[in-house]
Amino acid sequence: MPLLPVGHRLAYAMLQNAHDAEDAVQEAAFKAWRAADRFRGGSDLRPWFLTIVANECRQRRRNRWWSVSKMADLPEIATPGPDVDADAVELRSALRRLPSNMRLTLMLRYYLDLPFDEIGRMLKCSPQAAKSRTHRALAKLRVEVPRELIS
Amino acid sequence: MNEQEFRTRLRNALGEPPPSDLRRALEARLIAGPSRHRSSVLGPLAATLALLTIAGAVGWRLVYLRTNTPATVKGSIATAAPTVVPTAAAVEPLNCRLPVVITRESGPPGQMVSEPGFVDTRSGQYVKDNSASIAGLPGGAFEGTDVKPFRAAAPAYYSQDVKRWLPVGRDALAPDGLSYLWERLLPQGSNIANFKNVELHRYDLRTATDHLLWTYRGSITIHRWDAAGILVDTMPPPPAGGTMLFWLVDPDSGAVTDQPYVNEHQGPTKLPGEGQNGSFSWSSFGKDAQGRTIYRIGSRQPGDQEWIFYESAPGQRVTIYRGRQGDAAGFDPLRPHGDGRGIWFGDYETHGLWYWDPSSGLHKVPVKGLPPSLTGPNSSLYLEPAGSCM
Repeated sequence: MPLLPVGHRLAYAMLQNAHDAEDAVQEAAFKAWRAADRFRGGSDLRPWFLTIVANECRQRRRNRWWSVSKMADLPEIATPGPDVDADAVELRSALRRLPSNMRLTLMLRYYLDLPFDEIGRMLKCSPQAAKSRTHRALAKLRVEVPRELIS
Repeated sequence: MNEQEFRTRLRNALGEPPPSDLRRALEARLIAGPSRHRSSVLGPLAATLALLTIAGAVGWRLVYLRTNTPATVKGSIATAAPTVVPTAAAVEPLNCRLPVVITRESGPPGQMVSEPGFVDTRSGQYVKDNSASIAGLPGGAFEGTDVKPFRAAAPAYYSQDVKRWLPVGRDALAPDGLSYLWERLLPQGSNIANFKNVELHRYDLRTATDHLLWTYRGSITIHRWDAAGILVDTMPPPPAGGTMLFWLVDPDSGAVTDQPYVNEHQGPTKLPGEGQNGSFSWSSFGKDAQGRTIYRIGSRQPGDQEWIFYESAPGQRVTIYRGRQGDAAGFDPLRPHGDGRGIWFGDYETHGLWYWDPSSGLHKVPVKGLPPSLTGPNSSLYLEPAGSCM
């Protein structure tokens, strides 16, 4: 599976901004390039690259400029089209309020459709633990949004 | 709601990212990146991009040689609010010798050749510098590298301060031009696939002495060297996953102090109306002699807007070029080199050079006498300014 598109999807899901997502995945690819020859042969490349993408997204969100300026941009950039309902807006907003690791877990599972063993490799835990984390993230999300949205 | 329903709602809420030619953008960004990277970027870049995309699905773009006479580009140049730039040595920019490095590559199988030379900016004639040598100078390539195609240390920058070619780019040079930074992988004999530590060295060109400044477990990337010290970032190898830390290194003692995360993604100050619909696409691809970032708004996609500028102050853009990618001007800038008077650019497509300064605008300098491109698939040739015109 080509990695740039899946990295781009993850970055877009995490950042919810097309330009930032592209920039993040470019930066991640650059870092991957820097580290590619240290990648251990035989390991799975995808979780390794997605980890770099996820870290890049976290770094950007932690950054004060991003959190102040770009978050201020989010409503207009992520303004739903006429065919997107208010529930979608609510869900996006709730996802943004989740802790980064929980949001990442949900994106990996439900946006990228990764299996739990691969999520576990990214989160450095067992597949069972990855599954538990996913359920905890879902539980947290239920607190954030009206129950009927994700009940 | 079951998992599948939640998945559907999540995807409907988030949508899909808009189409993006990431590989092309990466080429632009990485090849236009810091010169320290440039010295060894092409081979591993090609390998990594092939790894991250579908290998061979998108090849390197072929570029074509144009040999015209130097011309001033008019009509599409909108130079605004020129800033005062220091006066460089008394040379006429379009009648001087500009150091350049030509890189030719093709593959697979990977081949890469670089050579230093000079371009007479009046006639556009390129002449290889057959006397160029970096003998006795450390640095310029990772020792024992197993990157394919292999690239040994090679002349990368011509220093007027010491009147010789150096194996590193300007980013690695001291503010006074009399020392430069280089790195060694450890343990001795290791390569970039298995090294454990990196040493950061400062080589004193006046005394021909080398000084070990710092050893770090992971990679070190030099960002800048100014009066405050040497700003670097470090990144441990996977599986740490690319967590970047910033440090300021004292060039004399090697003492390091940690620094806050340096935001390299801030971009230019948005003007009113920009980014309203999320379409504010920018990149940076180098700095001028005063350290001001040179930005591109738009992309290298044909037909996309192309606004090349730097900021003299937040929100104050000094336009170098404003037009459309692929328009008649044909400006498709590669890594810039500011020499205090103006800025030289290579060009992705034309194998030529461009010169810009605030008073006279943008000038095209077609270059002739270049070596032939390598045979083989995906053959490319890049010409980049590698020092100040003299």
